[in-house]
Amino acid sequence: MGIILTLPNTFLDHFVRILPMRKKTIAEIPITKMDFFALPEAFIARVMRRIEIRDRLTLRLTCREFESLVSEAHAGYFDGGKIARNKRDKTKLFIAFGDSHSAARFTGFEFTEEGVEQCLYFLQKLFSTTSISGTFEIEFDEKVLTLDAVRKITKSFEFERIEFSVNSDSQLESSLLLMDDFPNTKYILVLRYIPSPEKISTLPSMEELHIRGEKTIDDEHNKFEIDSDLFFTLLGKHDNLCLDNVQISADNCDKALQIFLNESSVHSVEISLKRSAIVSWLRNHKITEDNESGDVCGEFTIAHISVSCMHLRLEYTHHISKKTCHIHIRATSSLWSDENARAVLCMEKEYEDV
Amino acid sequence: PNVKLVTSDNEEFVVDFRIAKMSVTVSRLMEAMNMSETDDASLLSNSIPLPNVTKAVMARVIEWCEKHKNDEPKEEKENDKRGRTTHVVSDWDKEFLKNDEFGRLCQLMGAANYLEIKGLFNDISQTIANMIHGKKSDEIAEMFNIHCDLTEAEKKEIRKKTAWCED
Repeated sequence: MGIILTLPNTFLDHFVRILPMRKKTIAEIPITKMDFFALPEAFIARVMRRIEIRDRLTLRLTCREFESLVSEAHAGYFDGGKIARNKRDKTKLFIAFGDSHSAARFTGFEFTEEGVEQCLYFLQKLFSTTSISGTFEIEFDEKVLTLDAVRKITKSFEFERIEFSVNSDSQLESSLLLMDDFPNTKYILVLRYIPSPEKISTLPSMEELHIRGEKTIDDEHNKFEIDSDLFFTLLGKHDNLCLDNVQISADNCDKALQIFLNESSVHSVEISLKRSAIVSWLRNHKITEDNESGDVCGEFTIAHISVSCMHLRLEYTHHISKKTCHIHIRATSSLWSDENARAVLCMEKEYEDV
Repeated sequence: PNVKLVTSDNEEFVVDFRIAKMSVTVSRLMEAMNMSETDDASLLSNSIPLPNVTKAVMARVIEWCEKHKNDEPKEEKENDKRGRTTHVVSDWDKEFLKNDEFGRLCQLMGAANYLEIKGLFNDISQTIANMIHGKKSDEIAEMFNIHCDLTEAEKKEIRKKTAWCED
């Protein structure tokens, strides 16, 4: 008592101020010994969904009950992932979940049928189901990562979006069959080879379709062109298109722009085509290399033109409907310099708020 | 306006209407009892019985709610399996829960579940997951009061089948 009375006033003032704060935390929850498995099942499930893959491995070593709980519990949500042949070590399989700090990558499995079986066993011990938000990439292979193998691995997965990178007709066939297993998933299809035009035109609607044809040797690649009929078939069908070697005229560029504006589901189109077609299309609209940023040419406004004339950004507004889109044209040298070279024409709409 | 909440051990807590509304359970009970923010008489004459929450736990729940009463409502669809990311526990919440051992967290989690305060429930389940993070199996066993019934040979076998898989 005496000690408190001799304390300076400033301390007492402070002490009085902290008293009510302490009072709030005085009611302490009694400490109880609690067994994890005494928690209601729903609570356990919620906690298990938040446990990282590495920690799930450790939990399996804790006791039998945890060992089985880990394999029976939902693994939670991962942002993206991939299954493919390991690019750094082609003798191994590559499987990854998530792309953040909690990401897990497994590269120890042999790229063989046995390795796939081991991977499958491993995943079955780690979770019953997992949900992948974002994009999960799948790269099929004719011998190891076959449709059957990928089906077994992804059987317990839920996907928001799958991206297939495809190098052959058989891989394309596998991708299309796997899509049937996940009807509510969105798809990105990257064709790294050139299927027949009939096959391309009958593809189901994708969130994104890329036709790159990288695998084809140069001469064949140069021969391959997406003609205007096929291009317009694809333009109305897929939400986002990215196409190499499109052969369309300047008039068809106008037609493409109008279809693009009027198809509400189509969000972006990126095509590479001969500069002569683009230049001629621009000239039809009185857009030339002499224009400057801010110039208005009919329905087009030049948002930016680079000094090198390699990049041109336009804003387009239809004079009646007032629908708008952004247009970006890029080339590897001045757009107006070599009309036989190729350039990329990209049209993009603003995402509408839902 | 204030709302009276009565715990299982008959302790009365008088809380701000906004705090009471953070609990879906309390909100529903107020609705059922025709208690509204604009009707002071209905708030004064009624109290909300919460038979599944003790005063010690309620005090902690209210402390959490006080801190979060002005938070923007988060649109987290419980059954939406897509597009959900890991729940991030804020620094204040980490500090709030850091001294609670597992048994206390369970009681708090039970209350958050009964009161239907999703933010607190998610905070606690993520905190328990974080408690496990990076720990060795025997540390986890001790934390959760688990007796390890795996033999060394079994542990070795489990390790063998998973160790070579990780990057």
